[in-house]
Amino acid sequence: MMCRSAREPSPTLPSGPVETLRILSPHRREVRLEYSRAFANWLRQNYRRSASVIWLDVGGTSKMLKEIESRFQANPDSAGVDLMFGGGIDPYLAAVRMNWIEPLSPLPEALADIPPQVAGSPVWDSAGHWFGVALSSFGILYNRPLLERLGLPEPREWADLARPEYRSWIGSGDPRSSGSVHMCYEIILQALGFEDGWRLISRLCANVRSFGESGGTVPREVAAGDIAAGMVIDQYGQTVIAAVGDNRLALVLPARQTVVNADPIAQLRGAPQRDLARLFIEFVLSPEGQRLLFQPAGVNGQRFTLHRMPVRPELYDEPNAPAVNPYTMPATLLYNSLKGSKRWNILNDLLGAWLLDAHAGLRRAWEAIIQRGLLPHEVSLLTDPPISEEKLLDLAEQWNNPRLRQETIARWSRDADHRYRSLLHPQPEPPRP
Amino acid sequence: MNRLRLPVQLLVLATVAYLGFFLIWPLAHVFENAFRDPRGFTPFYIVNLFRNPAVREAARNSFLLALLVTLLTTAIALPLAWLFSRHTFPGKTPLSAALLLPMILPPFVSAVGMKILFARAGAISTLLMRLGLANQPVDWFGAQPLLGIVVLESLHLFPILFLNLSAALANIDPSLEEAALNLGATPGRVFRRVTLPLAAPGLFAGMTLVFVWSFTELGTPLVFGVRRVLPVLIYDGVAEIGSNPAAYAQVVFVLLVAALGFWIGKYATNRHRQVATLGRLSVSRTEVSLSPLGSILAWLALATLLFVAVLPHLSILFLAVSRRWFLTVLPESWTLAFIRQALDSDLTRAALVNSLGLSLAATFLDAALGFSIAWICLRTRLWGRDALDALAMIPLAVPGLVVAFGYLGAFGSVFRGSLLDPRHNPYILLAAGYSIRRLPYMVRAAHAGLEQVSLTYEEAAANLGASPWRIVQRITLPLLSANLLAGAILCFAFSMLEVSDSLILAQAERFYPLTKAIYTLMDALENGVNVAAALGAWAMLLLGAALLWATALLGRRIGQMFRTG
Amino acid sequence: MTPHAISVQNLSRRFGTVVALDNVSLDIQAGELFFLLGPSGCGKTTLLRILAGLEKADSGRILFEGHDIANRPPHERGAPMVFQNYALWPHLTVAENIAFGLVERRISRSEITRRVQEALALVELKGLGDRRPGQLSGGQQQRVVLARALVLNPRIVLLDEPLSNLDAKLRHEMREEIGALHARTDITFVYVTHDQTEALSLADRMAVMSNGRILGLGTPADLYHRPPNPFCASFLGEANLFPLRFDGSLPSGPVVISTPFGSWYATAVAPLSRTALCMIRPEHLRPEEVESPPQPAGRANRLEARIVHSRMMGSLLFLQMEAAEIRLHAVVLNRPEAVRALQTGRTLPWFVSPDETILLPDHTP
Repeated sequence: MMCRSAREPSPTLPSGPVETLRILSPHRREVRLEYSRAFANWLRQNYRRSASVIWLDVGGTSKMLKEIESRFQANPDSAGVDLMFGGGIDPYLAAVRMNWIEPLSPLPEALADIPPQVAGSPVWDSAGHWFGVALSSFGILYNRPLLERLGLPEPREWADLARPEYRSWIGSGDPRSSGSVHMCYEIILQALGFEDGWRLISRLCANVRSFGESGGTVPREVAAGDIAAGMVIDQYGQTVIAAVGDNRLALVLPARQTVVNADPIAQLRGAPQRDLARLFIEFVLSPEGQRLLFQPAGVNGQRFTLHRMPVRPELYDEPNAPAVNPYTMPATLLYNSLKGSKRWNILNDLLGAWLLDAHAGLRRAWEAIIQRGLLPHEVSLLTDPPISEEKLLDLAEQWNNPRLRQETIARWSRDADHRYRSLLHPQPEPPRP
Repeated sequence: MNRLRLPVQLLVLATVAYLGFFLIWPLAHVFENAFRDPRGFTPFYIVNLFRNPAVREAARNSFLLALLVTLLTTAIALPLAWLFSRHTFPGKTPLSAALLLPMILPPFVSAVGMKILFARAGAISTLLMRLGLANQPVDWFGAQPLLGIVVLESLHLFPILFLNLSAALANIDPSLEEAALNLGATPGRVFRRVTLPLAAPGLFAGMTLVFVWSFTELGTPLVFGVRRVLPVLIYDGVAEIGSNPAAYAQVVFVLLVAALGFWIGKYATNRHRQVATLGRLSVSRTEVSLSPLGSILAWLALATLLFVAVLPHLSILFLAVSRRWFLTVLPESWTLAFIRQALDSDLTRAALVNSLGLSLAATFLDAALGFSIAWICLRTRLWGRDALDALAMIPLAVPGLVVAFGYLGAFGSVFRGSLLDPRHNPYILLAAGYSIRRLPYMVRAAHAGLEQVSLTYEEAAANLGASPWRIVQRITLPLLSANLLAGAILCFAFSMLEVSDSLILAQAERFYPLTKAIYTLMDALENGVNVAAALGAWAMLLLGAALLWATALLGRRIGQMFRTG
Repeated sequence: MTPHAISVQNLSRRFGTVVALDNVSLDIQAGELFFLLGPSGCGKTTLLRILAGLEKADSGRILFEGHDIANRPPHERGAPMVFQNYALWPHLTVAENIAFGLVERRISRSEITRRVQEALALVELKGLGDRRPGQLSGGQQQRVVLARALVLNPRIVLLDEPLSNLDAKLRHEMREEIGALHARTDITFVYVTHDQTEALSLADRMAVMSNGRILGLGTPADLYHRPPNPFCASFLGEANLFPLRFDGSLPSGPVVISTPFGSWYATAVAPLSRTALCMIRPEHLRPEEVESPPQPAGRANRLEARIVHSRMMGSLLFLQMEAAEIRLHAVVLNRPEAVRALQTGRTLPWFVSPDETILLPDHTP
């Protein structure tokens, strides 16, 4: 059977053969489809070349990183893929450290029009490793009629999601597979500090009904009414709001507790199609490529509205542009990408072992504590950070040792299980010093 | 058969090579990698497997799930089979055909429907609140997501057990039960002391099939968002296939459990089968005709069961034509847009074309291989033919998940960048995976057919001057065509709906088969579920028609296709 | 008067349009070895299965020792059956098969063991209790089935064509054994068969059945020598039958009647009018050249018959003859003088004694 290449309209037949560009990406299908279509057109019109994009879909951001690692382990010279695209800055910093990325030199011309920073966060890497294509913010999506029916207040900040009234009405994806979910947790840790952040996250997770896999879980479940609220990346929230209606769903960005984060693209070392990869990067940074991010379906052949913020500041003046311009927002929370990237994997495993894998126990313990009247010392026992931030960053250095990693995860899981089990029964108040 | 010796030997060689390359080698690769890391051989990952509480919990959940599904399926199928094999009532024939209906959709698709129907703000919940039976939305599967999976898989799998059991019950010589009655056993005691032990082979075979199936089912837990089961853990491990042996260790464990379950079923089956073929059916069975009241009760019970079993399918149909179904009993508005969209988006059209092509390829391959193997086993005296048969039956004990994982690991590393690299192009491996998975069913279909074709027909043809090859062509194949066709239809239908191979092996959208397209669509944020449901509705239509056709060809013998022993 | 072991009264059963039993009545004495004999489809098995409770009658009564059991379920009838195909449970050992009914009767374990051993001894299968039925020969399986029934010390045992799955030699042996077993007990046996040899050789009394009706009832000798109708005459052994017409009527008993061979002395089994069927068993036709007729010779019926065909079969000579355009069969002991005398083509004088010349109604009721 002959495989059919992606069906793009081909009004003018270019001279050369069809080239293929391979991109690993956690972007959702709609995003991939728009880029496939628009890039092929752009290339045909400007270079009279014909290309089709093969999107390798292995799941979320973490799975993408694992896939790259796996591919480089099989063949240290090349992953057989040209680009990685999307997933937030932190994974790209990790990829730079792992020497998976080949910096672009000279830098793409389009960077002349793009500021290197937004609201205190980097937009592109001056060494040419990665380039932000879109800007993301993170907030809380909630279902209005449902909250009304349940008699719950509308959430305004992260801490609202940790309130006991919300028990079983909160949703979350899995930070281990979804980059955007991971970012939400990392933002809370950085916005509140590690210890307070962890305490909030613990209670939030105890409120979670069940953990889905992808970043799409929360928007889908909020829209379906399975949960009342959850943390989302802005584009997912906006997409379901557009589909279901803003009388039902709303997205709030917690004031002073969220960041604007660039969503980059990078060329992988040993890319089979380096020339084409560079053209793709040029395209996504060009005004034409940038408009894909926000122009509504129906305009310029666009089929899906992507609800994303461009990195080119001048586009915010265009009629269809997003209402909020992040370049004019004050830098309230300085997000430390270096820290975030360094502990990306270990934080996933820590969250995984303590809050996700042990979720059943956590929920039961939380329920028991609520029933006993939310005694502060019991809540404190439940949410105590199992490890200090310094220790975590130290351990992160050795996290590529599979045995150490497996053994530590196993120990965490045992400890978590033990802790949540013990909290099923009343705990004595510790003597005050 | 002397003149056929060389061709037959070549055929055997090709068959063994095919099975060796696409079944044994990937399995060997899985085993090798489960016991190896950069430092060489190590039992560490197998030993460590259960030191990780997450794996422990997953294994516990998977066992529990499989056990519950097996029990529930048995609880449904046993009385049904008894009712159908010992009684007559009006409408029995159409009803027994209707009982196959739940099989026409992989449970992971119906899970979408179920999830929407039983969503917290879904139709059932809303109905209860409207009726005043609940004052808060009921979270059916949120609290007990395993329960949803158990119900759904049981509803999907009970027809298989029903078919196995019906055949087993029908094969029991009625005089064995009469003798027990005659010697003083009450009907209940007869069932316990005679009927059940004699039906045990069919029961065991069916239960094993159900157990292994539900133990390794990937799609349904994925849709229900249940991550803590082994298949999903393995699915998550796919991305780490080159760097983390833990996933290999999990695959080895799943494989061992499946093989063990299969072996237990087989052993029990054989132990009973040795003695179960004594004498001939002496008395034709007199089926008790139910009284009018009994008929009505039977009808009510069957209608309830069918309604519940078909409910997920119905909700898929609803979902496919509805817009906005939230805090209302019925959808707010109706549309045919999704049904249309399911046939003209790039993803869905490519998926249909891919699945049709791949399934056809797998079916042709299986028909050829299945007939060859059955023919070699029954019509030649070739040394080792029993081993060949056993080899062809191995896939019954090997879950699709394991095959797919093995392909990705073995072919992805050795044939990197070639047409055998699933990351590069999964077509060949998908077709091979489909065909390997369905080969036992095809062999069995051909086997059953060949056993019914009396050898004397072929001897008569030889006697009148036909060469062995001409005999196959003019006598054997035509006499077997109904069996082969029915086997092929089932093979095709189930390849179309193969879940784990498709989910794991197809990584680029243009290679997506139907099931992966449905899974992908379910993930889309805008109306993806509706389009997925619409695509599922089309698949349902296809598989329903195929099953009806196969049933028409095979009649009651359709049960033979789903037996393990 | 002690009640009959089994009393069947006006029993009828139809399967769709087929009448399996047509108003059948029958009494079986306690301790009798009673045979139900008839061709396949005559209703004998249906009658047996109704006795066992495995079929229901449409109408009629069944009494076991005077008690109406028509509405009792099969497991309460206490009439174990020996099935045609044995119906030995393949999942149980020989001993477990035999013990089955005892277990259902809640008998103590030790008692069961003892009685199973006894039963095994009774049928000469000692030491085979642990085998599976599949490991036994056909004859041994047959004995197990018998033991399974007899171990219950029943009042009645029902046997459904018990020997039909055995080869000729074994069948003969088992036939003798069943007879011996019956003689040793006081159990009532009801034995269904289509094989007249079995019935004639074993039965105390028998019923000959056809089309759901009983056409003959009596001892084997009675039915063989004085069959009440043409069906019994031809179904039990061989018979030469030829029609006769006469004026008026004949009483039952010795009569004189004119035949194509002259005026004959004969025995009528029933009063007859205008027509009759004359029955002569082949072995009752005797050649005068070999065997001289009894004195006084005038009492023997004589005829001249031409030998058309003769065939030697071991101890007997089978002859086909023609006399007055009537075909006759004769069976003569195979002695040299008989072979010499009975050459094909010869016409010889034959005689038959009057009480072996039987007159029957010419139709079966």
